[in-house]
Amino acid sequence: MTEESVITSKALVYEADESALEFLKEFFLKNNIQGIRERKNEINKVLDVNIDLGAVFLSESKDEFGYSGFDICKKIHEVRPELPIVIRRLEEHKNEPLPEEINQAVVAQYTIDDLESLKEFLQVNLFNRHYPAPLVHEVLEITSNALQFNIKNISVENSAPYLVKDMLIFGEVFSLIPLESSWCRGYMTIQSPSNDFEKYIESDRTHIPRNEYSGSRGVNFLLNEITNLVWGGIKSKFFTETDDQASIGSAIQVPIMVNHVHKFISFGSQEPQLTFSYVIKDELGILPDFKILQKLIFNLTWSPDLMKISDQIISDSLDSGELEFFD
Amino acid sequence: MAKVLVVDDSATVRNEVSTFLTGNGIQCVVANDGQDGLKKVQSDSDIKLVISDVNMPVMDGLTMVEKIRGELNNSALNVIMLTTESNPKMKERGKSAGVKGWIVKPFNGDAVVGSIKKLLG
Repeated sequence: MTEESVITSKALVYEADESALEFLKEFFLKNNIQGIRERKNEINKVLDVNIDLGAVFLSESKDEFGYSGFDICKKIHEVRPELPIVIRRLEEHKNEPLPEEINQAVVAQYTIDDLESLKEFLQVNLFNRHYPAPLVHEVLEITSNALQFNIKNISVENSAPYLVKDMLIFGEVFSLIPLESSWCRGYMTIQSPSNDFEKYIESDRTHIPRNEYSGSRGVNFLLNEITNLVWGGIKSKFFTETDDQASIGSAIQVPIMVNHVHKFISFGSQEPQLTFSYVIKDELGILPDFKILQKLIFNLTWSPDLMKISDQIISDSLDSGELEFFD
Repeated sequence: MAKVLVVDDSATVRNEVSTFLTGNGIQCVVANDGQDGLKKVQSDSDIKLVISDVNMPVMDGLTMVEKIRGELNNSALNVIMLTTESNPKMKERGKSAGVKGWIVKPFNGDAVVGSIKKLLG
């Protein structure tokens, strides 16, 4: 099963040249990239707001203030070294070496109309894996159902899944659970703002007993419940072969590194993280909408060609909630 | 009075299922995992039906059923699994252990309440 799904990514763009910008826009459109433009010399603000980037496109061209991609390249690399940076060289400088500190920060260079270099940059740094469409579709459905089961009277909107190279945590609370099978090994994390969840608990819009779980403990509990249900759904649908649990248990692990101050988490891998974004909307129109992120990080094993999903399982999922009697 | 034992490590599911059944005139007791469920079955002879999750910490649901049949020597107690698992091999194991039926989560009370009442007699 190797059918691929449309996966996108977000890229930060600094480009002062209008014709190069048009070229990039077209390139992004064809290659499923959402460009986020930085043009007011406010790189810190842009980086603070966008913590789920896949790449950075800079340019040697200077803007009207004499400001170029070189000026922010070092800064971006310093604070977010996991982000791959590509820089557009001016035609007249393209054979000149980059300044040493810039050269250390970028992973590729290109000149305008140099499609091949850009495609290779994306292929090597972002779109280097294929994600089977059934996996992507089922994760979206399982998670939306789990959210709606746990929170009453909501609708759930999701956008196309996207690849993230950033290693920053969204919101104040996140769950983490291993995903282990013979064809994949890694983790799923669900990340959320705490206050929004809390409002739904306080308003008795969940099934959890409010007298037992309130405040932040209630949020922890609710996220745990949602994560458990999502994990069960994924396990049930995709980890169907007779996995050798003993060998999985003794397989290689790598440390997970968390820095609380910087809301940073590393799974010991530079591979892009498959990210799903969900917006939870109150159907009663009382409570605020809020966003959660779900990330799948296959940092230990990724062999999607070995993934199996049986027709039996697909048909079973259509009958969820109903009782199947055994003879 | 015949009771239903709801076994699930998720308080949300325990709450959801037991609230629904109680609202339909069915008395419920709850347990957090298979080991807790086994104790409740052993100590409360009014339990006539168990609705249990499969994947739980401490003791999973299918091991609990096997112990009800083996250690407690109770072959009459009806057990339904309520789980995200739809793996045919898992279902086969349940069938062999004497599980009466299988519900894939999420729980849809209206779809199953009639059958549950029948099982309770």
